[in-house]
Amino acid sequence: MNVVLNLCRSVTAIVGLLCLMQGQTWALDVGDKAPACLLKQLNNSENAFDLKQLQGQALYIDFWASWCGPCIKSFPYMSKVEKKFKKQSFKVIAINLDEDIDDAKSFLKKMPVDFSTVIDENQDCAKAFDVKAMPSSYLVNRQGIIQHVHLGFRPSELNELEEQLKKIVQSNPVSQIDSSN
Amino acid sequence: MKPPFLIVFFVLSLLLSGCSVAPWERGVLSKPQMALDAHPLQTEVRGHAYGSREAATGSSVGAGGGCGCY
Repeated sequence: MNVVLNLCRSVTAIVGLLCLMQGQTWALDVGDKAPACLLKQLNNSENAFDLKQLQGQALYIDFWASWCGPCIKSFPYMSKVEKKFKKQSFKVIAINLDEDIDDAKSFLKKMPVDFSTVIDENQDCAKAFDVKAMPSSYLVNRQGIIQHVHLGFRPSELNELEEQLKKIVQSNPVSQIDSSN
Repeated sequence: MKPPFLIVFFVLSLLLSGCSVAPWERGVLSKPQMALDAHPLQTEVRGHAYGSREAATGSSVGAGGGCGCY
């Protein structure tokens, strides 16, 4: 009887360990620093840049794919906000996660956009953010801190998103950050 | 002492539980040809028509004669 009990304990310990190992990465949340990850322009794959280089700008980072319906629905909205806040050092970065990059390219030929579309070649960025849904949007303030996380895209949630956008655009002027660094 | 076969099998099956599919890896799964029902709208309409026609017999959930009329 004791042997069976000991075995049960061992099995429970192993299962517990496995659960811990699987949950070792946590999705980035409000208050976390946006991670550094390498991105390439969709149209010019030789032009690579690090997300960290954009610190000082208010960012709307969106993870999308051409097969994702709600992602496509969010495009007109992202174009709108890019145009609206562009003069206030605000940038929309749409990170494509298509398994076949040609799908994204042919999609963008049919539906050109005004904002920056980039590729995350090895999905390092998606892994660093631990993207949980498609689309996932992260509003990052000028200090590189995630201010808001938005999963999916529903027109009923746009008012809240717009409020959060205004917050990251209006707060933390670039000059303050430059002097603090 | 050897651990019972069932426990070894249970632990091994946990270790071989396959891999998780990340949200961005579902491009192929999202294709229409991967859907269980290729024509969901048509199935819905047919189900509705069938339910209306055979309502007296409990539609598709109960056995019965039904008029079979359209």
